[in-house]
Amino acid sequence: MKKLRRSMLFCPANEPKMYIDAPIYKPDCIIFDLEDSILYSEKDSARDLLCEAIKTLDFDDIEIYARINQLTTEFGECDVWETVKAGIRNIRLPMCEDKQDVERLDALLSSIEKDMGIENGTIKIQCAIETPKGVLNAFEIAKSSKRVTSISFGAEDYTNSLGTDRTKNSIQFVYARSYIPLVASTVGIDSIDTVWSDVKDTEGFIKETQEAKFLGFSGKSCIHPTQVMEVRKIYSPSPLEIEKAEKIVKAAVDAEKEQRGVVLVDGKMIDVPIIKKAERILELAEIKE
Amino acid sequence: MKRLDYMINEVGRKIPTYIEGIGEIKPYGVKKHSSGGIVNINNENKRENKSKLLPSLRDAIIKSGLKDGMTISFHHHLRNGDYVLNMVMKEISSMGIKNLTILASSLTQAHESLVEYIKDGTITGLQTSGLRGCLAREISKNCILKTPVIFRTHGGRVRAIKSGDIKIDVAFIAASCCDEMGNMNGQCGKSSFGSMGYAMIDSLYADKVIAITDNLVDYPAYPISINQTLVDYVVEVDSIGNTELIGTGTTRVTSNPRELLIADYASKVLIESGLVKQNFSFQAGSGGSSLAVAKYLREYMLKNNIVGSFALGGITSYMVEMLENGLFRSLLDVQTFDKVAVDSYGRNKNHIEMSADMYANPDNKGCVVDKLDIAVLSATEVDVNYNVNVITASTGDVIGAVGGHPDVAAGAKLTVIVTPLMRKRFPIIVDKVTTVVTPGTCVDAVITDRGIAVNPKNQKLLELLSNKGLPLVTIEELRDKAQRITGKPETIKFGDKVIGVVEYRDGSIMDVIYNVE
Amino acid sequence: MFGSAGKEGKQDCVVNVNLRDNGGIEVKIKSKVNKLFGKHIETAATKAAYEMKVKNALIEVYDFNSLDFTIKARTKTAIKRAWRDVK
Repeated sequence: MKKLRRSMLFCPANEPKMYIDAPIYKPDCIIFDLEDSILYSEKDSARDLLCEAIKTLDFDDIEIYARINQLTTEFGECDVWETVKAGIRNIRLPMCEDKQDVERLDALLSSIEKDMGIENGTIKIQCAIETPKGVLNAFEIAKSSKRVTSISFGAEDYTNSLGTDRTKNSIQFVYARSYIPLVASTVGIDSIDTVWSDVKDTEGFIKETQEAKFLGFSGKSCIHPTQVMEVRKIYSPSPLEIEKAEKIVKAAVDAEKEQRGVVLVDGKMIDVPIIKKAERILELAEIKE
Repeated sequence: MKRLDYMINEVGRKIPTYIEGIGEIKPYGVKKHSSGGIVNINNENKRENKSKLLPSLRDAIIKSGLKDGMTISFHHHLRNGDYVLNMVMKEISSMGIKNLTILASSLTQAHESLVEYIKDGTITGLQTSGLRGCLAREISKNCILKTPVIFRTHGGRVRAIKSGDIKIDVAFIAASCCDEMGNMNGQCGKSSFGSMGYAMIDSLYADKVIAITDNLVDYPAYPISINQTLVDYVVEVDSIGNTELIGTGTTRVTSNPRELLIADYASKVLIESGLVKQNFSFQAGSGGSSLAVAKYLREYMLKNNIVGSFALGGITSYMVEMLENGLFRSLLDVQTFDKVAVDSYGRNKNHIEMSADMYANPDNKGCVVDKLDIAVLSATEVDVNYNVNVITASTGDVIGAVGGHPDVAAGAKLTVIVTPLMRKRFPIIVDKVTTVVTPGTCVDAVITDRGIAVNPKNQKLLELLSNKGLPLVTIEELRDKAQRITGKPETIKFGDKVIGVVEYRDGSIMDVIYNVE
Repeated sequence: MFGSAGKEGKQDCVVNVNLRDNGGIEVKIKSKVNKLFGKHIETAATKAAYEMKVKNALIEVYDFNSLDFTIKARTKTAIKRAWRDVK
């Protein structure tokens, strides 16, 4: 079954409790951050803690990421080497502005994989698009490597670069939030919407997440367990939607069996995109075939 | 052979001294004869009192006849804000009385002073629902008490008193509102605390009852929770307790995401069990996941137009809100936790004060826990046989109280335990609990933040919960999961001195607690 | 050569490492849960030292209900910081 990436929970990598507590909320993905949330003087301890945690703890089906420091810093490469050796299989690359940023990481990962004797391409990349240049280059970034499994929009740094503010009424990034999902969909990867930092304002978070879903984002960044729980609710199809989707998928399967070209449901013709959407709904409902 | 002797009584009537069919006659007003005949029945027990008010606590203690070796009792409705127990002990100690047994409904952090009185021999016996803090440590580590503490459930305490297992010589009953004849309640006054449920049995069975109040009102006081016919003396003091610590203003449902997660799982279990339906009854806790379950059930009840028959507890403002929103027909209250809930008595006839006897005594003509559908309880530890510990920690320290836990678990149709799988580094689901308080036969399910285990004895519940998207696991899997994360702890070394005895609600012994080295 | 890592509270620990020339690995523990988990704490710190190929050190662990992976991580960071601490 396709990996769902509805909720991406950010955790600072230097907090032991996060490793213990975050999994109970069953986010689809957890990003342990070595970058922005870690003080310069603690970069080493955050990295060591993440490595030991990955070696020892069981995260069940949760996809675990390391958000590394940029490769241009003194920490970046070491972050990649150490965490991958410890068992990290997904890297979040911050501040992707063009395909060269991704290619640089791709090359580094290839040499680590060779060194470790694992298959080339095993380690995956999530590209964080956090600047106007990054948004404009989103398509080339998304296509730049087979390792890229998702692109994620970061509004905070984006609005800073634009010289404006990140406010709750998100008109400043209408373009970015429209463009990113369509790029991801075209390339066949996931798209993740930005962080909502006012943890107390659950209503605002819910509204922005619903918007994200309408815009076509595969998932939403979270910084608190309650956000993870809300995302799950919003991205869960209703019983009615599930029922409809099951009908459509069954009709498509039947049509294929009977070698009919046309799929009919309740007398209406159903096109491929609708069948794909129905399949997507069943995926979100976590109904296993 | 009829004796036809007569006597003239005090109003001049000629009364036979013996009447066939009745027997010896006591004529009105006749005093004792020098020959040792009839005695005036209205002797020292004659109640000429216009007032039972005494000038001081000391006077009341003296008049009560308190002597060495007696048993005195207290309630804990003032919780962490209680001044009364310390006040009384200070007075008793200064009078040089020794070897007393204290029968408290429970002891809280407000009662650390007891350490001193145990050490100096004023107190040589303790019977309570729980022990905490410094007092608990001194007893369990330093063995300052020569006899074991007897821990009883709320229902068990009543049973023990009624059956004569324990006799109360003097009961000290704090009331936030009292008149000079002893009519009292906990609903009015600056130190109001609500229900007097734990104190009622004391007032009925103690030889002497002393009411202590900081709010003496004109006669008669009302409402009347404990009436004057049971009270010997009344004492007024400046303050019976610290209002801030007696109870908070309101009790909010937790916002802690872990507690909410557990409560969400629990509410799903309860709903799938089919017991949340019209006229159901429910025991909520006073905080944490236990109370948060009420919040999730509320949403379900509103959606499905369900009105419950009663909610039980441990009543908080949250439950009062549910009552006033028509979600329950009544509240049965043995202990009131916050100000809003206390005030509710004044405006809600269906907020009913209930004695611990009515609540949980297994030996009476029927107690409320037997009518309970759903109970949501907590634990310090649960073992693979579903036995529950609520009184000691994994370190062996006594840190809590048995309370009504075993009573409720025994009575309720469905009993679930809500708890995190670990607290800090301590696994909560273990091979064997440190102390058994509630036997596993009473427990239907354990709901943690990392999985739900259903007691195999309840196959029906297991079937109902299967394939509903719930994280069902076995209790052994929970134990193993916890150990994989925390590592397996060393076993605590206990000494060989019994410092506490856990008495089940029927008077039998559930477990013993040894000293910690 | 001295190095320290970690924080107090919240299931973390503070680990102080003094690298020395002999005396093997010595672990001193200060923890409320010493009775229950002392052995685990000692093993975690010792293992961390061995994995770093350190044979002689005095390791002090001030534990706040931390799990083994935290103790190992903080010990390793402390050792690395001790190596950087060249006077």
